[in-house]
Amino acid sequence: MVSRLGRVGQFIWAGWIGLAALSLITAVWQAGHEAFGAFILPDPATVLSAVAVIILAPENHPIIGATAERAMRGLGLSLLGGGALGLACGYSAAAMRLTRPLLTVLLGVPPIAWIVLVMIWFGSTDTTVIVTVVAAVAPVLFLGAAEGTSHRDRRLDDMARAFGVGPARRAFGLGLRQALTTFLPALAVASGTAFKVAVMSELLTNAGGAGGALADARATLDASSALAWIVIVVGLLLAVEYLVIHPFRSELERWRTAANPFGVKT
Amino acid sequence: MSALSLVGVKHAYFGQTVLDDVSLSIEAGECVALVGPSGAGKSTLLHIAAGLVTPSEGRVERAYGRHAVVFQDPRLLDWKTAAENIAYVLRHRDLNRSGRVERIAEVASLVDLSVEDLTKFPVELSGGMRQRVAIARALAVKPDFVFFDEPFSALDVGLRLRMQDLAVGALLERGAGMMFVTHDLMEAARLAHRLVVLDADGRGLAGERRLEGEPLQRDIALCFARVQDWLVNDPLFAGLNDSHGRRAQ
Repeated sequence: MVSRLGRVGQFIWAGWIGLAALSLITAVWQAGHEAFGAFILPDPATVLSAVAVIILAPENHPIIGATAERAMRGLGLSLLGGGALGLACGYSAAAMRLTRPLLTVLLGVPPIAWIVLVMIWFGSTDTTVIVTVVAAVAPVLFLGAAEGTSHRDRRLDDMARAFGVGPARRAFGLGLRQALTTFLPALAVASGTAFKVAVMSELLTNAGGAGGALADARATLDASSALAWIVIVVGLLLAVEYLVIHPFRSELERWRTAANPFGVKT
Repeated sequence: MSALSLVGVKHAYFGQTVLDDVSLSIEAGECVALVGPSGAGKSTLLHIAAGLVTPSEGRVERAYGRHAVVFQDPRLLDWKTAAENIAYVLRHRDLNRSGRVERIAEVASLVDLSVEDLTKFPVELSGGMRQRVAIARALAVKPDFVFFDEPFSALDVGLRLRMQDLAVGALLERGAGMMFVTHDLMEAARLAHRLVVLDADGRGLAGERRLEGEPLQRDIALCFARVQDWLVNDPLFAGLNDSHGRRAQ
C-alpha cells in the first residue's frame, strides 16, 4: 500500500517534465504568433481564454461529449473485436499467417477512404463516425495483441504444463499477461488515433461534435476558435492516456522498474 | 510397478533420430542420473518423460501422484515476486491461503531464501537465487517424482553442493523418484543410485552403472576416484568428455 502511494506520488511528480514540454511548445507558439500575426496564428493566451469560454458554456458540453463518446465507443468495439481476435490468433500460427496480408490491406486503406464509403452506407450519423474509428483502430489493436501472444515465452507454458496448470490459467495468467507488453503501447497509439479519426470523420460528414465545431470555425475563418477546439481534443486525449492507460501500465510493469529504483540512473 | 517407465521411446527432430528405442524404469525413491555428451538427447528424454514432448514412438507410464520439473533455466514469471512464483504452481492444489503462505515459507527456508528475498522480483535476484526459487517451487508441490534438467549448473561450487544435499535429501526422505540430467559425472556419482549413459549417436541407451552406497553419503574422494576410473578404464564413458558434441550423421 505504501509502495503504491509512493508510485502515485512519483507519477504526479513526473508531471513537471510534461509541464516543461508543454511550456516549450507554448513558447514556440508565442514566437510564431509574433512573427506571423494574430490572423494566421493567434497567441496562446487568446486561444486559452477561448478554450475557457468554450468549456464553460453549457451548450458546448454535449459537443465535446459526443466526440469523446464516439471515440471511446469505437475504441471499445475495436478492443472487443480486434483485441480479442488478436489474442486468439496469436495462439495459432496458421491464423496469424492468414490474417497478416489482410491486415496490411486494412492498415493500408486511408481513413479518409473509409469515411467516404461509410458515409454512403450510413449517412451523417453516429454510426459513420464510430465505424470509421473502428476501421482505423481495430487492426492496430489486433496486431498489438497478436504480436504479444505469438511472441510469448513458450518455455513458461511448458513450465506451467509440467506443474499441471490448466489451459485457462495458462492463457490468462501467461499468454494474456505477456501480450500486454505489446498490447498496451498499441492501445496508447489506438486511443490517439481514435480521437483524431473521430474528429476528422465528424468534420467531413458534418455529424456535429468537435469536428463539426472545427468545420464552423473554418467557415468563419476563426483561427482562435479552431485552435481552441484542437486544444480541447488534445486535452481529452491526454486525459485518457495519462489518467487511464499510463497508471494501468506502470502498475503492470512494476517489475521492470524494480531493478532500477527511482532516482538511480542506469 | 515402477514409478516411471519409458517403453521403446523413439524421437526424431526433422527426420534426424535423437533417441531410438529407449526403455528405462525408475522406482519410487530412486535417483537416476542421465549422462551423455551434449546433443545426445538427454534433455529431450527428460522432456518426454515429464510429458512435455510427445515421443514419435513408444510410451511413458507413470505410477506416481504428482511430478515437478526443475529446468536448466529458472523459468520464473518476471512479473511475479519470488513468493508469487512459487504460489503460481500451488494455487490449484487444495491449499487455502494460509496453507500456501506456510508452504512457501517452508520451502524458501529449505533453499536459504530469506523473507525479504521472497518479496523481490526475479530481476532483483541473482542467477543462483533465481534457480533456488525454481527449486523451491518444485519442492513446494510435494512431488512424488522430480525431473531435474541440469538444475545446479548455474550455482557456484559451494552452493551447488548445498543445494544438491538439500533438494535431493528432502526428496529422498519423502521417497520421491528422481531423474536428473547432468554433464557432470561427479555430480552424478554423488547423487544417484544409478547412472544411465546415452549413446552419442542417437542409438538410445549405451549402458548403465549402478553405484554402491547411498546417495549423498558417499565419500567425495571415493566418488572422484570412481569417476577417474570410469573415464580411464570403462569403455562406456570413453569419449564422454572429449567429444565435441554429437557427430553429424
